Amino acid sequence: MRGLLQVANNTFFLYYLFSNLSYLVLLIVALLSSREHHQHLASLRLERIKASPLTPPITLIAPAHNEEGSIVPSVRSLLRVDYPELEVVVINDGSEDGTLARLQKEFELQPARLLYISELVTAPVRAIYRSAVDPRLIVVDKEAGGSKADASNAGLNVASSPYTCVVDADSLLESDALLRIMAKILEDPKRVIAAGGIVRVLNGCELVNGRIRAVRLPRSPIVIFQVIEYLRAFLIGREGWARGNMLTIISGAFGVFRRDVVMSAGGYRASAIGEDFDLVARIHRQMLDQKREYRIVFVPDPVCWTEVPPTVKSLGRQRARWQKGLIDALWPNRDMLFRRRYGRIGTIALPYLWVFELCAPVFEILGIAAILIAAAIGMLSRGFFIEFMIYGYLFAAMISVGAVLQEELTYRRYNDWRDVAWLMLYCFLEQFPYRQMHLIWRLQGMWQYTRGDLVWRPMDRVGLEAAASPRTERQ
Amino acid sequence: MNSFLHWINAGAAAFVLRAIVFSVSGIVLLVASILARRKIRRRYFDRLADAEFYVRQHWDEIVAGKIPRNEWHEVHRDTEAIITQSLDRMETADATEGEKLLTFLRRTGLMDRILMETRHLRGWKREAALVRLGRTRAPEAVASLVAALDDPSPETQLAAVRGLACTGLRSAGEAMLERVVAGSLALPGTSLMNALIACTRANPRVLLPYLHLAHGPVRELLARVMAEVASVALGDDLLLLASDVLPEVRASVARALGHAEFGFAFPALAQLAADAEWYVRLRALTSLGQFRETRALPVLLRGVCDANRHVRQRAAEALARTPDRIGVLSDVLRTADPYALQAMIAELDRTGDFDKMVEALESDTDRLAHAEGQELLCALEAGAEDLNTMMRLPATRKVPERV
Repeated sequence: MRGLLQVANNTFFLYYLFSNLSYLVLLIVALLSSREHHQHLASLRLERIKASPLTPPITLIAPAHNEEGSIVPSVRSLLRVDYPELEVVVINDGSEDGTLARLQKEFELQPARLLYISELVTAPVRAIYRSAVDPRLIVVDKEAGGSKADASNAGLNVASSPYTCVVDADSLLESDALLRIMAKILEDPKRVIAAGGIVRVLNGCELVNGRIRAVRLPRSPIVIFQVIEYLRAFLIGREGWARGNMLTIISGAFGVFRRDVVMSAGGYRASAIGEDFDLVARIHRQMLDQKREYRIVFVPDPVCWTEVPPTVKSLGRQRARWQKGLIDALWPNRDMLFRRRYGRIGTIALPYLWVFELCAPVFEILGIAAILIAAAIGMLSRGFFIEFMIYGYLFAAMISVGAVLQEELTYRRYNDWRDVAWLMLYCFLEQFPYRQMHLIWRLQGMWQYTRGDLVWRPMDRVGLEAAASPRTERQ
Repeated sequence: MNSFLHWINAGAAAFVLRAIVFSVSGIVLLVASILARRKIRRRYFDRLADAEFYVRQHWDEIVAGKIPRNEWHEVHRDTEAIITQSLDRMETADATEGEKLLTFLRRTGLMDRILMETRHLRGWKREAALVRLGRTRAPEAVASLVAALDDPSPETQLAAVRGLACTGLRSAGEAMLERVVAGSLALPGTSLMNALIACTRANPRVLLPYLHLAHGPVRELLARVMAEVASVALGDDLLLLASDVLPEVRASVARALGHAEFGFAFPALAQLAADAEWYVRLRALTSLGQFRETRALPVLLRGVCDANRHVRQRAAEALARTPDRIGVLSDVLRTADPYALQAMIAELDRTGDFDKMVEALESDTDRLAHAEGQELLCALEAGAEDLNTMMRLPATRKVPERV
């Protein structure tokens, strides 16, 4: 028993050491990378991209399922995106509420004669409409496919542009987001096949007529924790991985893909739980199988604002689903692990995801249990136990503060010093009990997946306008 | 195994203590950086705003020399504010006003000051000075900026490129092109492209010798620059480039020919409309569509039957703009390509003209008296119905893939 505990403790210690080391490396790489990117931003001329005859058209695809509360401001914000040739395709994925009716009323939809070829398998399409108010808006009304992937595929079938961008219907794109993300793609259009932008938390911001008037930090602790998580995930994680062309995920809330690449990869897998991750993994596989030169990039300045779960319950459901999505995308691609033909993806990125993302909850829970038992039976000195806990706490807090610094050095969206002070404070509060709750949700996700429980549990939403109102937040 | 475990145990205790110290130091450093940066920036911008306010209020007197140079020259912030103000005004000034501002900078010694800064300062201060020097658009700025292109630091090179882009001068473009082709200027594509576009737009011919010399990714980059700046000013060279090996170059030619005389452009555009690369065909058809010439119709009709969906759409867009749309539709019908007809119907629907056309056909008794007219009306109605049928087809990969 003692021997087993000893091995468990040492394994956990090494696991924790490597995990922290990788975060530290990512933080340093991300700081360097974003400094470089920030310098390049100075010579970015959006007006040139906008005026260029070579800027390719883009289709924005917004799948919507029961989005009655947020669909109108969201579509308005999509139509307001500043881009020379834009097409907005909203997919009403069998909504049971008034999503379609609201769209019909606000945008005067009329049946459209549009070429629709079912290149990608989807649930049947009932009708296609075009807005009489703005002909760039197309609404596809289809039967519920049971997943965002199915709706996105219908959007891909309709899309008439060489580039597509799938966005969540409960999100807001900043008006220059597409120009900014395309600037990176147009730098090397032959090789850059996909690009992801940053997703930020909308809750708490001031929203007027579908536009963000002021960026504010929400007051609800559960949302502030998510703000820190998003900053960490995008400004450290994505930035760091993208530097080595090892980006394995482009957020489903905002990512631009070359349509031909997505189509040849078979589109989104309709049964996928984490369809965004699954697609990127399959694209990597396809490109590496075909030995093609390619890049998948992360661009930190184009912003998509999204409503995050405002309650512990809905956050738990979301995180459990993300964990299921992770397993669901990693498992079918397990044959890519440690295969030379899959390069860094197979030897670094995917193994990292398996060990430090997928198995993290199991390792951490077992590790904590082993340490507690060892401390209880006197195998571990009380001093070391306390020191180890302090180290874990401080190191994790340091990485979070690093994410806040990264934000401060680069984009400074939170202008009010009080918001920054709150963010820093929450970097220290995040470690207990939020982090442990997070572990439990992820374990729940794993348990549900192994039991075959793949049911979509919708997030509690208050709608964009309400989510963004700081007053609502405080109430 | 036991010795390894012992080693870990012994090492772990020492490591954890060090890691705690490291983490605490890291946190203190990071938090201090955030707070210090906020504080310094705030103080700097507050003072700069005060200086700028003063300069704005007394701008005319300063430029006219009514406020003696000595009064503000010794105050660093005031001088900075005056330089910034001059450069900002230069951005929107016409030629006369720009020259006046440049004379002011020269007369007051501010131009010399900026030039000195680019030579004597180091790091980010030098980089900022280089960009400022470029913003003056003064011919004497080019030499210093070109010298900075040869600096070993990529940041300095980038600042020099940004400065040269601001000048927009041909000599600046040539200096950058020489180094790009020689491989001594390895900077991000966007920055280089922006600068080269700015400096060669007025005279795209500058690019030609370098385009012939370059190869690999550099040639691709220059081709993309050419695609932006190519114009009819290139004359016969444009026709030579129409058979370039790089599709980017051919696409740029196709775009540029859209602004040339139809007689001059048509043979090359017809050739490019049959190119192997879809985006070259697309650009050629877009350019052909701009002429609204009946002689271009056969090429556009071939385009609307293209295997690529985007090309079909562009061709349909061009065809839908022609005055004799009913005639064009009959021609499309004669191609017997259902995808071509559907592309036309979709385009007419997009522009809101489909129903009008059907109504016009229904009320055109003369045309309906002939079999051709009836056939056209039937085809339009059936084509529109086809689109609906296709949409309702059970989703399957067996659907013909003409995309």
